[in-house]
Amino acid sequence: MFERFTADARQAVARAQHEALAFAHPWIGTEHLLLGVLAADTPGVALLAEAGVTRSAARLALDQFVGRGGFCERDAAALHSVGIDLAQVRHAAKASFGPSALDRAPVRRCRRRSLFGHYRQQRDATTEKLPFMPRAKRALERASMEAERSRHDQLDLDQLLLGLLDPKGNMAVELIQHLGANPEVVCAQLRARRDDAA
Amino acid sequence: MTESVDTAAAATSQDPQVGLQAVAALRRLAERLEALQVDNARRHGWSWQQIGQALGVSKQAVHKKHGGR
Repeated sequence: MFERFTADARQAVARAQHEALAFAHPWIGTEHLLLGVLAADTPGVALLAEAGVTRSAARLALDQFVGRGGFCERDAAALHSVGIDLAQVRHAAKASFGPSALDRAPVRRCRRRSLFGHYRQQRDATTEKLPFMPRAKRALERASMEAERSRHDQLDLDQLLLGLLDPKGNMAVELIQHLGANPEVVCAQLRARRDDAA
Repeated sequence: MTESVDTAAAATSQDPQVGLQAVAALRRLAERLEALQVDNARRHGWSWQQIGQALGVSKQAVHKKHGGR
């Protein structure tokens, strides 16, 4: 799957995994891939930055939407309304089971499968390979098609970004929209710029 | 003290959005805690039978859910 990725694009995927771990999310979604891409410096990233989508803004928005360990701010507030202090539960779990125990506890609905469909046996905080969510897989496939269409051997960062800008919608698109940018416009601008360069 | 008063006030809130979101978050929280506690019980040498009994489900159910890890 990743053989055709340029070194930069591979690094973006690796950064996506780090972002997911930093948010204590047990998956890699389009939101993490977007953050991975935003750390780079490409025409596509510049276009997004012009439209107000920077890495720090996107991280902040993700924190609001999804939050750490899959509990967003609104979840915490809702739990508080029934008398449960999420911070305290987190603290207790940490005291008994170690750092980020609650946020890292596996949730059944998220199948622990790697991109190639093998079930993973071992789990370990640092060496762990997180599974890609379906829409993230779709984004990677879209990026591959993008690369094929351009008749380049390699899949670069902006093609990965084009893959993320899925008209059918995903978390990355939602984050971009939330930050006031229009993914379709960014997509069209980026394509135009790439066509000019080619 | 003021915090518990706030909580009591919020708990009586009739906003369905808040109430339903609390229920959904509670389910997820329970799932997380279950995973942590089952792992811990296994590390302490508990059998699936014992864990199932404590959770109020069959040993098969708890093994099917958590045995893969």
